[in-house]
Amino acid sequence: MHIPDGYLGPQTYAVLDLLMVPIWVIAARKVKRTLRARQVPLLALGSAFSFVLMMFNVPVIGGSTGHAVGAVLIAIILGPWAAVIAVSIALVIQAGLFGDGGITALGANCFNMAVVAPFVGYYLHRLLAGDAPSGRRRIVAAGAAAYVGLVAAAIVAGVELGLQPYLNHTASGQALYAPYGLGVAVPAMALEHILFFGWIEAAVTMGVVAALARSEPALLEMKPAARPLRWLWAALAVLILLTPIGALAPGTAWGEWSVPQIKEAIGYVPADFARLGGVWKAAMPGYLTPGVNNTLLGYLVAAIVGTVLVVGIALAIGALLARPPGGRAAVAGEPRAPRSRRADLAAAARPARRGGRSLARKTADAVAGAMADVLRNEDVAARRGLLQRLDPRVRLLTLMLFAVTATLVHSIWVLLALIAVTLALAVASRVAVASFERKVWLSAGLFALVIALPSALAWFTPGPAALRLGPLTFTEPGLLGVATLVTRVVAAAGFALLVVWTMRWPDLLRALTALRMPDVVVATLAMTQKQILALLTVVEQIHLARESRTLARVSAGADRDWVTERMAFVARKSMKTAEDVHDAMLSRGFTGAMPSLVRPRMGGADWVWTLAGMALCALVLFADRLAGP
Amino acid sequence: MGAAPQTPAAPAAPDFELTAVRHEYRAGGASLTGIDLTIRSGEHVAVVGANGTGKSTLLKMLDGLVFPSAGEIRAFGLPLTEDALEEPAYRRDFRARVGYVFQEADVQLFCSDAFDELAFGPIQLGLSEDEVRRRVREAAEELHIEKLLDRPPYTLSGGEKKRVAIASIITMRPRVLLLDEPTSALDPRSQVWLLDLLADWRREGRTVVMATHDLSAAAEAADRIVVLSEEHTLVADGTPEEVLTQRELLLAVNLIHEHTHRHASTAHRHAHAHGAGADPLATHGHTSAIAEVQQQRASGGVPAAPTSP
Ligand SMILES: Nc1ncnc2c1ncn2[C@@H]1O[C@H](COP(=O)(O)OP(=O)(O)OP(=O)(O)O)[C@@H](O)[C@H]1O
Ligand SMILES: [Mg+2]
Repeated sequence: MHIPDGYLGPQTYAVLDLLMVPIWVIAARKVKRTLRARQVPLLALGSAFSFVLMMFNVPVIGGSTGHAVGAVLIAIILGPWAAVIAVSIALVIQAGLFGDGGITALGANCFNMAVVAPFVGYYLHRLLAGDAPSGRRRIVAAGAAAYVGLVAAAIVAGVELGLQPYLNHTASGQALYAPYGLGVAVPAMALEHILFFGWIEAAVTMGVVAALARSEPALLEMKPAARPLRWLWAALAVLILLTPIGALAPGTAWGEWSVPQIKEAIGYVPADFARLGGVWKAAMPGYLTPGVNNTLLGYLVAAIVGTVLVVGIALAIGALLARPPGGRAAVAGEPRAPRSRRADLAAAARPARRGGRSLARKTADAVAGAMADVLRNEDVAARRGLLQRLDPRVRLLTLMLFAVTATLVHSIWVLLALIAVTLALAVASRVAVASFERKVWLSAGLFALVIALPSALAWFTPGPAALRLGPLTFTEPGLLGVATLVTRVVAAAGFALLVVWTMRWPDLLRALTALRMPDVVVATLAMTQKQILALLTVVEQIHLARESRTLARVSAGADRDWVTERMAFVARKSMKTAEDVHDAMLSRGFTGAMPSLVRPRMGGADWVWTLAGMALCALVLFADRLAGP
Repeated sequence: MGAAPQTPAAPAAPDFELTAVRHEYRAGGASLTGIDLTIRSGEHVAVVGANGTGKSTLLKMLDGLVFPSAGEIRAFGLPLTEDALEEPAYRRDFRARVGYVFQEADVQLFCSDAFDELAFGPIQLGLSEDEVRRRVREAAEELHIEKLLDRPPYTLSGGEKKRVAIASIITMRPRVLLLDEPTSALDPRSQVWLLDLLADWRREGRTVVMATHDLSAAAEAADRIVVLSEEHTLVADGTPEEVLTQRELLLAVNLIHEHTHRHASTAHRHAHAHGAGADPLATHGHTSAIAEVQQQRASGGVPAAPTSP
């Protein structure tokens, strides 16, 4: 669900970035009041846990795997406002330390995963769990809450992406950012999470809550509800009533009432939108609610059936999970002899040539890869290149300025020029250019191409045909739109990756402090990164130890049991670490803030670079206006 | 050395006084019980006991991190309670006086690099920037870690982490140092260096309480040893000579165990101490790493303090 840079137009991401600021401020205040002096370690714990959770691969049907976000789980344990901060920080670290997710899209990602998911999930959990302190009801409520919370977040992300073609397009109908309209983006995101990721989230949340209920029930203690829960039931009822607006069968609803409205509002109706509206209208009502003529009633029935279905299936899974854990994996032999840590990292980070790696091995590899990334980044950041010589604030801000510029440019030629700038900066900063380009083009560019290519079909983007492949017709504006998206994504990803690769983590923290980021936030970021590295080591070792003792292939169910058990263990372990670290801080007189003495200083070169960077960005935007889209 | 803050009560008050102290992490299971202990200013006390006997808990209690569930603890003549530590002036004073080096250096090092780590305490005490820098420089020199200052803690080795952890306490110029397993993770040469450091502190009149199960380090560094039993009570309190000669007692608290050795052709049983250091009870010519290094040092073979890596 991470939206990378380049998919959202400036109006959308700017609004969401700005919207997040007051949300963070409020969350920080609320958390300060409820968590008191424990806030920093507890938040760091939550963020680290969310981050690490995203590294666990959970098996799903058909041999594929996915990962959970953990937003609802954290909201259940720490409260929704703490989850806002914790998940936001996990996302910032993913973007800043590992280069996953965008810089400009950070606000959007935080809004979806750190606000929508925890709040929806937290309140649904309260509602469903009632006052039950533990037991099956609690577990089932947690699973259903996690499922719905994640799907809600996915739908919001779908809306953000789906708005792009209406907000940003050329006269010829060529999309400038994410190419699919609401009629495609929302159902696609929703279905993906309804069918796939929602279940992972639910299974992980239920597993961890079940394990915690067994071993650490104090963690799950619910504060008595401040207000009666009745208003929550009322809110849920309203939500169900509102589903025609898009919660369960978005295509139908949108197709039904919004075409004229959108036409009125923006004077442009995307082709796919009108068409899909018709398709949904034809397929859905008859199929979902045979015999019900009134469409509105149809939606209501669908919404209620859907809700019941979700809760019912969660109940079934809950019943399965509440069984005493049994059916352990086949385990034998001694752990293999320890090798050197570096060798382990290197070996694990190497992509496996043969297919069919075990789950444990996959996760261990992912974790080792992530840690190898961090160590490699430290290496590159310590070199004396162009960017590394600059004041960290200047480095951070100018690279962000470039990334923003990349999202403002419309001309494909200007975007290509920006890609050339990233390459030049990479060379000047002594970054390993081959792996830089591979990462930028393969992970960011190729992904954008695969996602966007279908949008070039005449069916989505009408216009003069440019290419015919059998029954498929790609149109000129369609292909141009795809090319624009891919180059934009590659340019923006290049600048973001330069931030990640040329900033040492302490420098980044100092830059943030110098930029007046609140102490609590910087302190939490610092501790989170530390805890993540510690936890990753634990996770990697757990998985390697398991891999080394597993002889036969085990069933997906047993694998799943095992993974959720491990997650609960990691949760407990990080809780204990958080307490110990907090003691260590108290012992040295900790009063709530962690100021740093090392303040970056601006030199002549920094000023020159800042001015040059700003001039270059202005020039780029000017050239873009000349070149036209 | 650093000016210690003025004593709030009569100067004659001992640093710590524990009366009938009990502590439990969970209701029912005590981790310390019936502890009566007085620690006077300038004393070097070793707390020894097998794993899980409550050594770390005792140190945490002396540092005002956990509190008795029964009994009373007084620090510098004043009751040490959670409420008392809520008071900013008292907290600042207490934290400045007492420094705690944790058993796991990983837990203790939470800043983004070693410099920040050393500066953390002084900054929290509200010292001026110049003063903080001076203290960091001095502590780094004292512990030979100047070259490590810009390194993130997670890139340091176990022994380097320990030095940084100790340095990060030294910068606060505490009068009382609580050391939890200070010799763990240190190679023999660094252990000797640590013992020298302790001797310096003794000369400066600082109080040291160290938890350990390394009897030789305790014998070497402490002028008083207290023994915790597996029932979480204090079972002995005296000079190293008095305590370490009570073989039956040490056997009973599992600090030493019967052990069969084969020497040349004769097998014989004798009591054997745990820990990385010398075996204070072995009388048949084993020399430990520590003793060896000490002998070499006495003859000028090994530098007194190792240079930083
Ligand atoms: N946070 C905690 N929660 C519950 N029990 C704890 C906690 N910390 C310690 N204990 C228990 O309290 C007892 C004393 O623990 P403590 O850490 O003080 O032992 P120790 O003497 O320092 O052991 P070691 O030599 O292994 O460091 C042990 O039985 C331990 O299991
Ligand atoms: Mg201990």
